[in-house]
Amino acid sequence: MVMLSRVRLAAFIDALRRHGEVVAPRPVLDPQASGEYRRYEELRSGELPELAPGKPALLPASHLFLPPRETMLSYELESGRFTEVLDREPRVVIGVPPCEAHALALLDQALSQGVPDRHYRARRENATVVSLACAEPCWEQCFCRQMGTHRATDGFDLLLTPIDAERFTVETNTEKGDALTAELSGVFAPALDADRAALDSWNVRCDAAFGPSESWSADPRALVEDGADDPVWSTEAERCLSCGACVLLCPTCTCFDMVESVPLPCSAGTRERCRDGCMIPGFSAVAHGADFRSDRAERLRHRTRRKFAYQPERYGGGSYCVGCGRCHAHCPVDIGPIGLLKELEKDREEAR
Amino acid sequence: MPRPRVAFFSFTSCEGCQLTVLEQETKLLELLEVVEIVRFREAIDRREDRFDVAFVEGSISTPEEEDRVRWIRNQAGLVVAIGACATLGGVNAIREDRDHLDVQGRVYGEKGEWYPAHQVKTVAEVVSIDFELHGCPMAGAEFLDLVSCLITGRKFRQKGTSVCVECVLRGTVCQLWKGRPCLGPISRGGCQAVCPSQGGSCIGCRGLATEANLPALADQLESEGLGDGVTERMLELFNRKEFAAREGGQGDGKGDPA
Repeated sequence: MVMLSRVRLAAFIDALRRHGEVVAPRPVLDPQASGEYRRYEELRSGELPELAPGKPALLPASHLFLPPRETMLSYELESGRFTEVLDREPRVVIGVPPCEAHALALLDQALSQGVPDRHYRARRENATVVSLACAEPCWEQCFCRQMGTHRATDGFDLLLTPIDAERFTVETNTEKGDALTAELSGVFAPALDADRAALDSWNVRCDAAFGPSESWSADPRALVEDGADDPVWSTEAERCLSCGACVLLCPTCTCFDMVESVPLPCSAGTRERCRDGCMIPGFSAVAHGADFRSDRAERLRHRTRRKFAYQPERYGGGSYCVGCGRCHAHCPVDIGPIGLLKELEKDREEAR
Repeated sequence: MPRPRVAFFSFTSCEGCQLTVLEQETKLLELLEVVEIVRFREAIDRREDRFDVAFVEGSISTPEEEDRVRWIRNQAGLVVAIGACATLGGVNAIREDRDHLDVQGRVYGEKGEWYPAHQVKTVAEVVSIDFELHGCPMAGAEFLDLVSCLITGRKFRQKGTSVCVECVLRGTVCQLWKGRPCLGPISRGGCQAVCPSQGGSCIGCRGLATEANLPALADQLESEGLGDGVTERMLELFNRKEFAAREGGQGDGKGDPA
């Protein structure tokens, strides 16, 4: 562990720029929205990241590695020749909150198994992730404490914790982080025993600020597995608008559709991967027009089970929900995982 | 291989969809590499009666227009309805809810009865069509993609998913968060959420999404104090026909996966 003083922040960012374009949550310039919202964007020349608490960015950091639309390959129509397109642009993402770092760790796991996702891997392997610890819940919809993701434990190279107004502790989690710490020794200061003690007590205060982890008595996986026939799926689906915001904003959702793009004059084209998702009508449509999940209630149940049961079962480990609350915050009719799980729990209690 | 002969026609409309074609600017040269334009009154003098693909803009709102669009159907191999007037009836269909004599008087004064208002129809209500390009105006990118599909023989895919799909992926601050009513959740996307991403509300110019859950959005907007009947009033602008059809018994909010 080393220390980074805020007065050395410019030197730190300058050094990071040697490792690629530096991307951080930046305030949205929307006159109607009064700077409350943020987006991951490249920092301008000389600009410093805010590194301050706030609402999570509109799109999560994982969307930098699995963008809404990306080119997989390009081809010529006449010859049939095609070339794989991989984005190896080096990037440094700074200010990633712990929940989103956890999401990256989950994606790293899911997209490396079986046939690895080369496009995701190419971006990920060429990126450096600098996480920023959260001192308290960032908005009312967040439930990272219940998902065990309020403290960064994986999915980042460096972790910054603002232990006082002037300084961050800098912890490393990977070889890339170790190398960066060594390279930037001139920017960092050594950590003293007092700094380690300050970090420990910061973390204790952090846990307290996030409150108790037990919002429901049962574990989510058991709740969704037992609740297959619960009426909550159809009652909530009646309100659901099928707009798809929940799945498109989720930091651990990876589903997509493939689109051919052949611009005029039609001599060459590209194959594009576009984000799609299991809550969106038509996603499960197959040849001949059959749709094996055309009912909204089934889709809602599927999505919830995928986050809390299917993915954990397939990959081992915990929920594929990191509790960022984006799906709930963006839902026009206020449907969110916490409400669903609580309802499942209530119905289970009543059935006893 | 000869280039397909393409013609543009306008009916009751502002001709903004044809302008959208002209707005493709540098891509127009590429368009001309793959098609031959034989009729396009906003751009050329040429005016031929033989064409393979007819792009038809506007709603059909007089008996004369019905005859003319039937003639186009007979001449053309493919008929493409372009823009909200042609696909939904557009703003022209607002008069359908009103007394036609009143409407005629409002527009033409004392001589109103000289100009009878007829029922407003979509192109598909009069002749069979092969494709629709939605929007007010239609999206230029979709127009070019359809041409590309016709040239290469690819299937033209249009999704019936909501405007929210494209809006959230642009990282837009949701209109509903700003306390503004928005039809994005129930409206057909494909426009790249051009209005909400620029600070405007979606007014549903591309028609309803496949699974538009009207009652749920109406309840939600009303519960957020955005006004009684706000959804219906907003829908009237472009979706009067569709809305009336759903009101007439189909609007169970369950959606139609077809």
